[in-house]
Amino acid sequence: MEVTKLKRKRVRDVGDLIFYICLVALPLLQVVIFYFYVNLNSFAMAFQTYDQIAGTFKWDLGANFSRLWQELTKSTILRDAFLNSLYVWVLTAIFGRLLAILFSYYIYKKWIFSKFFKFFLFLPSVLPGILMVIVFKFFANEAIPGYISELLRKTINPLLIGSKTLMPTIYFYNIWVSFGGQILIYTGAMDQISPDIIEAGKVDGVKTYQELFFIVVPMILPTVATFMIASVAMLFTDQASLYAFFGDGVDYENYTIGYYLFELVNRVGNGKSMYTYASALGIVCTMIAFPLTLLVRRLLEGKEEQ
Amino acid sequence: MRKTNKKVSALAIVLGVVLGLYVISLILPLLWMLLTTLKSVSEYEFMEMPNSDRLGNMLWWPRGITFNNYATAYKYFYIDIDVIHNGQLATARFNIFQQFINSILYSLGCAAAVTVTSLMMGYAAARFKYKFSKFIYAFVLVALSLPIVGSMPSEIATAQKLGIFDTFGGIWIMRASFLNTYFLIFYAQFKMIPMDYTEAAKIDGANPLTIMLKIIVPLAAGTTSTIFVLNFIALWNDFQIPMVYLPSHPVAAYGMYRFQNTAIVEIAHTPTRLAGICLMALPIVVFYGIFNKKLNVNLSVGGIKG
Amino acid sequence: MKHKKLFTLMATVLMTTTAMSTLSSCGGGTIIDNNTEDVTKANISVATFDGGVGHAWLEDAVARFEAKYATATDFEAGKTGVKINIDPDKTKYAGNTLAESGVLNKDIYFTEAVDYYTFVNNNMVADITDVVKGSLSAYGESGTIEDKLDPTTKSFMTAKDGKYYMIPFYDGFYGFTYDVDLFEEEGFYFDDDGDFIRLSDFANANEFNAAKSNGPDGKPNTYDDGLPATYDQMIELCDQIVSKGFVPFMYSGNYPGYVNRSFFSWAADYEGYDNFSLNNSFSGTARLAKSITENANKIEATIEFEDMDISEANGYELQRQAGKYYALKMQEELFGSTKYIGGSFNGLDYTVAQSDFIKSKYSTKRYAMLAEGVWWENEATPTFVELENQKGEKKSDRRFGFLPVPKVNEAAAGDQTMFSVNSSFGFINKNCSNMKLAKEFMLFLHTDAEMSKFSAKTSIPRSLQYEVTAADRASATYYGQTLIDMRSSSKVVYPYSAANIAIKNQAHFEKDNWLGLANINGKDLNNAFNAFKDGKATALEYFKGLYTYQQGKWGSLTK
Repeated sequence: MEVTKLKRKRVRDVGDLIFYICLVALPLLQVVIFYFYVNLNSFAMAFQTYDQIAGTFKWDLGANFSRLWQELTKSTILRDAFLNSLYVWVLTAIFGRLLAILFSYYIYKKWIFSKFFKFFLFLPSVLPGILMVIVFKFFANEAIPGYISELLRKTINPLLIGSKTLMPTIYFYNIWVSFGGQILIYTGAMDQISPDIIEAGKVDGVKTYQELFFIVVPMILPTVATFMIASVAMLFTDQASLYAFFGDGVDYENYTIGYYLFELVNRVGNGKSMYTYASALGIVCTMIAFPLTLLVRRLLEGKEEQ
Repeated sequence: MRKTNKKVSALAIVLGVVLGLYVISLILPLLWMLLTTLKSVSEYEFMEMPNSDRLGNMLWWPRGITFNNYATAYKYFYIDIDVIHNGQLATARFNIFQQFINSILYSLGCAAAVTVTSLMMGYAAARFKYKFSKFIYAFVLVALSLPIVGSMPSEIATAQKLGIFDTFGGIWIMRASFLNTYFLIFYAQFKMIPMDYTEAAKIDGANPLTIMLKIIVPLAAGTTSTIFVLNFIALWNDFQIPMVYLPSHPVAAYGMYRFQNTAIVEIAHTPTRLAGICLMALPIVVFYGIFNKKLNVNLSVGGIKG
Repeated sequence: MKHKKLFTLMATVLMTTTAMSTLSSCGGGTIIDNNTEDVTKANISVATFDGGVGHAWLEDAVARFEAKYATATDFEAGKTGVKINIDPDKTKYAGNTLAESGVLNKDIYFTEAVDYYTFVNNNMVADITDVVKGSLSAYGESGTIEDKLDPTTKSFMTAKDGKYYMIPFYDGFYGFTYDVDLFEEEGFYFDDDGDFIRLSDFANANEFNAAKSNGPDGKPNTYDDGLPATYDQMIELCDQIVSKGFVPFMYSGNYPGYVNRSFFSWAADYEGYDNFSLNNSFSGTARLAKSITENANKIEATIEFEDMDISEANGYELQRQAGKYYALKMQEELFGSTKYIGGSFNGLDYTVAQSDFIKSKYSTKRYAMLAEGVWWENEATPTFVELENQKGEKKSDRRFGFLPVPKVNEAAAGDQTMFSVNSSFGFINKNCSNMKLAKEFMLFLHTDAEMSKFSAKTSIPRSLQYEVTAADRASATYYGQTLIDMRSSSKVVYPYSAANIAIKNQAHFEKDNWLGLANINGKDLNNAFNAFKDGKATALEYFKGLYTYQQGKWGSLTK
């Protein structure tokens, strides 16, 4: 009796394993070809130097990293870029997400105009990025100064110009267009909360903000956590739309790491000369972001998840 | 009459006001854009405005309404491609509708590929407690945080070697990667569904495939369709990848990008250029309008409704 | 259930569209030209970046070439005559993507914003040494294309293996364009006494021209007569423009780099060709500023100079070239406040800035000058077309001129040295379908006659030495004529270097970096325009910062 049960379980285990292998085989093959094989040279570049005229890569394990160390200690560009990346992250991933949760709650509660609001919150995700940038840029730089000048007879500088307003306007833009997917998913998660729990809270006389922070938010926390984890992982790849707005013309003090990496590789005058350095910088960023991601995951999801 | 105890919460008022401001901040620029497309080039560029020292009615309500910009935009929204026709080099012209067909093929196919791959891997990693599952999850986090530098040449070369460059099937395969946030969402969702479901089905003799497709995945149908739609919309607006990887199959987003950058005299004016973007965005906005309600999904990674 | 419906719908749409696309032989498009190539003739295709220079020049050249070889039979067996197919595009033929994709499907390319060695090392371009060194005698010239090339550019292009793979396309000068009509009407020209004169005070244009000062070149009866000869006169001019109710400068606030670059030629001009070329060669004796004391009442500072031998070991010392100081100083004077730009900074894209500059003639706020690249007039064609529709004023009715760089003092009068911000090239695809024809076409395009026609059509100089004929000059716009005149009397420094240190650290010596990166009070700055505007540095501080930045980095570059 016991033996057959065990046998059956073993058969099932083998079945599971076969099924598992079938499930992951194709996606893994895709990753082996289009991630590992294709990017092999890119990974290697971090430990190489490039001869621009000969067009050849030479192994030099430490060259890019020692240069990185120099940049970090002797220039301000990397330091500023790291700080800006963190700053963008705090504003979009923390503040922007908080807003998204609040807005989702509003929609979830079906308060007045909630359908109307939902439509508009998602709209920026539907429209082409180019359109959003063109329209926003025109408003920030021409329309707002124009209306103020014509109506109030006052002259102001365009918002995307000058150290006082430029970056705050960019942060605003990044949050402004970021709600779409989040609202969709958070309201979806909130709709799943059992009405009994909400009712029970009402009977106990909880106030709206208590319901939000002590019932709803904890219930959707796992959903939020997933997005938080992803956002930490992508901390250093975010360009914050800087290229879309300014092309190559961003002041050093406004660089993010994502933009810096993009510039190193894509700026025409650089040729391929910065590929190796950029690759090394990418690896260093990953070495910071990855443990940070695990840490955030542990904090958000608890120990047992690990 | 019993006085309702449903007092309007202060939170609702504050959030309502903020949302209202948000919607205004969104509507004003979009309205400006729509109105601009209805202005003649001469009005937009040359009309004398009483309070402005710049020529052109750029900021205010149109004095005359015209649909010429749309007609012009439609006329010039084409892309010519070299093709071999009857053994000879010929020129094929893709008008906007033919570009839409390519857009549909690109965005639907790639969205399906990404969604299915991420679902499969998310399922495998979350529902099977092999060590490899943990590795997959960690690997995705690393891949998310690692910026890849200069991999385009080898990616194209690999696609050419495999004979899939410049084909839709090829781009679907190249996009069928699980190294993305969607994997994390699927993972989190599948993780939250109690293992009892699987165990119970197993005892009933269900095989792993049946368990996955008939029991667990349906619980994530909402997530799946949301992720699919989010991908579809993003891909619809993507011009960079198709521009490089599908040179003979121009998509409408690339058509729009080209339209923004062309030097053709007839379209090199803001009203006409914006009309071009509107034409390209129209189908996706209509799609969104229709599926807006359907997007209200039962997504939850936090648990299952009782 | 609704999800199932959604998926079914999507699958149906996907299958239908796939079927529609695969069933049609041309991948879903409509055949509009059955025979792009003329099969009776030898064919090649030419891709050209349809930006500032447009493609009208190429259409004209192709017509002349096809006519010249209408009966040629030796380009392809059994074919008579030639056909050149042009593909102008503004999205595909510039920037890194073209080189990075490794995919070239046209035979000849004219591009901009490309990196020479990325193409060469990606094995995409044909060796055209025979074209560059080949005889032009078939076109009635005694020399070769190589003879027309700038020496630094030559050594840069042949540094790999002595071969030529590309030919430089056009000059990328940035600077200031002035509105000639406004200058004449309002009297913004100087006479010999330094007073402002205007056309209407004279009996005719000849008398007016005769009364003008000699301008920065110090010679009478040249293109620059009456224009500001010194930095101080430049400021005087701007004050005069403001006092008459006009705005001296329009520029693109979204691309402040255009203003920065407009002053690169000012640095080059002060230093002169030999001194400024040291920035490429890192070899020779430089005259450097040991100390600079600014004067309150004039731009010219009290400078103590020293001579120094420059090598790759101490190249950073070149950041003490006084020309770089004066360029920054004048930028600070002219763009450091809103005094000369109309009371506020703008946030315009460059095409809008061009358009506003042109249209301002009809508005209440007229601009006298525009900071832009030389190609702006060509690029602004849509505005000119609309101007003609609206106001009946043709492009050829408007007269603009490219402003020559003023000198530090009258004693420095002389011809210009200009700096070209170049990275535009023409080349032949390595897998060209008809190499013989492609090479012949390249030869043809680089004859003096064709380059002269190019200048006349586009107003823009090719980056080679040649004379523009009087007839071609006459067919250019007024603006083009001023550029042709200036270019023919100027020396040009190109941003190419074959020096070891520059080759090893290409990004570091990229022109915007080399002439723009500064370290001030421990902080790295890359944009002089914003530094002056936001009060982060004075010109003198920025100048010293150029040195500090390079000195700090030099050790890591020479490793």
